[in-house]
Amino acid sequence: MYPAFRSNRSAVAFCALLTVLLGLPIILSWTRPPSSEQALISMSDHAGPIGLDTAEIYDDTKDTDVLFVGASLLIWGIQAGQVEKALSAHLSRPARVVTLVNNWPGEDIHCFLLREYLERHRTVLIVWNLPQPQAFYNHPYVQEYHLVRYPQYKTTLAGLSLSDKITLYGDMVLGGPRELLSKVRPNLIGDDEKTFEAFTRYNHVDPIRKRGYKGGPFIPDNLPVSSSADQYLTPVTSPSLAVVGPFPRGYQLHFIHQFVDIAQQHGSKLVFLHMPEVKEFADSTIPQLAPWSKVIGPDYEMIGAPSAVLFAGLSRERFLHFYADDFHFNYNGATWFTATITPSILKAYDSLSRSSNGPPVALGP
Amino acid sequence: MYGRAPWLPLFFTFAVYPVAAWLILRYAPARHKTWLFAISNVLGTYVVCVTGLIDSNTGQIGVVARIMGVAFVIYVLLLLVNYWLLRSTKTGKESWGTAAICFPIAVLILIKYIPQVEHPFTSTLHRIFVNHLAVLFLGLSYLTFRLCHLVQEVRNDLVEMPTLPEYLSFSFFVPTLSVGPINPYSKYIASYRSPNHDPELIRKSLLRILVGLTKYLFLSTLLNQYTYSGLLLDGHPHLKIDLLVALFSYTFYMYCNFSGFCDMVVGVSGLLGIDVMENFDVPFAARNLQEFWTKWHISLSTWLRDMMFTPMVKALVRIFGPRSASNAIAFSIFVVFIVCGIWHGVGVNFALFGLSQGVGLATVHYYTIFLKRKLGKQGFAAYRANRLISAIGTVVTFVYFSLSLFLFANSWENMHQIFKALV
Repeated sequence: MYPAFRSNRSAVAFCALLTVLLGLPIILSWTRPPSSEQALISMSDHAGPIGLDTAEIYDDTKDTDVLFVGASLLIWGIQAGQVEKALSAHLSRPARVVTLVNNWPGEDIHCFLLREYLERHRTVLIVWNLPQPQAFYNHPYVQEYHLVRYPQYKTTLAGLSLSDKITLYGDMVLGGPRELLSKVRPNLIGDDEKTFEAFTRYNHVDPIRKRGYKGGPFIPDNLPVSSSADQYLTPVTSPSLAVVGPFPRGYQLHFIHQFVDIAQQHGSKLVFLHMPEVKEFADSTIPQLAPWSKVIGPDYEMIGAPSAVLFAGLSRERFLHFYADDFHFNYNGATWFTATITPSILKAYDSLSRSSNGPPVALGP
Repeated sequence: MYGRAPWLPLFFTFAVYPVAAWLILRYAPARHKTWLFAISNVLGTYVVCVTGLIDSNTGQIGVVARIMGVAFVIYVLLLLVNYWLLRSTKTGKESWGTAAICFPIAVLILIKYIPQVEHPFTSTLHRIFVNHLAVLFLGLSYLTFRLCHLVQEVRNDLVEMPTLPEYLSFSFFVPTLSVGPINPYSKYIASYRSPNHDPELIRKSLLRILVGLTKYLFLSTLLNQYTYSGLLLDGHPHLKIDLLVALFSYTFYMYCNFSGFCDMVVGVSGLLGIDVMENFDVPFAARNLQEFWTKWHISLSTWLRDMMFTPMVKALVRIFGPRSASNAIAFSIFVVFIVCGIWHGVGVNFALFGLSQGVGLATVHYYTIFLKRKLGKQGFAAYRANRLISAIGTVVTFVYFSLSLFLFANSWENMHQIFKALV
């Protein structure tokens, strides 16, 4: 058997290399950090429509009426254009509805996207698809290493436990080489990438999602929107919200609180959104990870309804016509669900202008 | 998520299995030891196969275990057929030996290269998120080469006929299962029968495992940020310099990933007292491609030399005469490396990778003949001793190999995407 090292010199060189790589986050913190935009566009399009997110955050300067933030449930479940049309008609002026989305769960990346967006845009209402029981993930986002940097220990990462800080240091080490490269030459993003279609083209998926359940045939279907659809805006104290856990741990809670704080600091109203999954079929409550009224505060509202109400009278077979898999809506589901929750979004938007203090952020024609 | 190491099979192969195997080899009664070791390897292989598939689909353990179970029974049955053919080489006619060599190759071709074979199983495979039938037969490519070599060794009386448990242990030896090295049976059985328990070997083995783990998990993960999939295929446009970055980073990534895993394999086998062939020997110090292939994936190049190249050159020289030796060598290099490319994977790009190695090696072969003729014996020795020429050769070899790995790493579609992304 060969020895692990041919000479003492090669052993020392190997250890020196490891030391430099492990210390890279600290070494890089002595230099000028890359811009947030550079960090975001170093992420692969596997992680979501990065081009579209970048365009919305850094290119578009218009203020926003409704901002959706969430993961893939939202990518495939909400048609922002449909909400924009309804809101424009409702306000008798062109309204603006934007989505900031990514693949896979991650409250840390949601905080990043929201912070970047609100620093550049006034936004009236934020609709956040916060983590749902099936999407529990108490670790850094899978591509967090593109975004997290050593100096953040003093700012956005302050308050995390030591084990979470160590985990994130691992992410910083992993992100080191790519940060180093972006110091040599810029990361680029093409103009043709800044659309949702570019993301679907990259991932070889149908942009309008005319897919049947789990690869089965797509059967066009629709449901009438309930006349009581505006009742789907409920306080987080409502008994229709059932805590099923698992209760979020430190890392997730840290960023959930941070998300709420960022919205508050920028004077935007925040409502939560629950998107029903296949497992919830016939459930008479909305399953939640945690009692949000205690975790975040009782003054927040949630848009959502138990599946038993949303899909009342529907057979399981027909219910599945609305899904592409166990979690995500297909075209049927997205069209119908967006139409179903739009009255509640309008109601949430209206409640701002009716409140005694007026809308937190006033956008006019 | 994608790009992450398969933790469960890794943990089983390098933590759970070695403990179980060590206990058997150390404490099992002598008359049961061979069978117990064989059973531990057969079961161990099944567990590695299952854990490899459930790693990213943890909700499907039952389905994966059942489907994998059926495939694994077929895998074992195929091996038993091959064992029967192997025994027949000693008891029957010479042609049984040829059959024993052809059988695993035919199975490999059927399972890995003929898509029609897997069509009836497509929906079953999709149930466990598997795209190709070959995934269910973990390490089949390596096993095929090991078994062919075994037949040669038995036929040439280099080793005695293995017993069934020895044959099963060798075939399914868990550490070398998935990516080799293609360890010869003679080396395996010699160390199995008289294992080395020298404390110095234990220390060396542990250090090899540690260094291998660092290369495989840490360095290759970092380097992956710069490779084709990690950098150029992220969906964004890239400056041309990124192609250079990816070109050379991928070579280092491959080295750290593959040699790191092999370090762990050699180390774990060393802890069990079993001697496994080395696969890497400072390959980037090679001064030409010929030397490079004696230092990179050594067990494969040794197998290709012994099983294909040498017999082919001998046969060609026999047919065309000794004066054709030089051309026979060049021709054999081409054929052997095209086969080597195809063995690595399904797709024209793999064949082209093999061809590129063949072109490189044949060039070195003819260039060496030219230099020897031109410079004479002493002049050639001085040329070989020249440090500047040696350094240039090392750089040229590294660059050529990195360029050819572009073909290895990327399908046609990916190549198209890469060139489209460059601005």
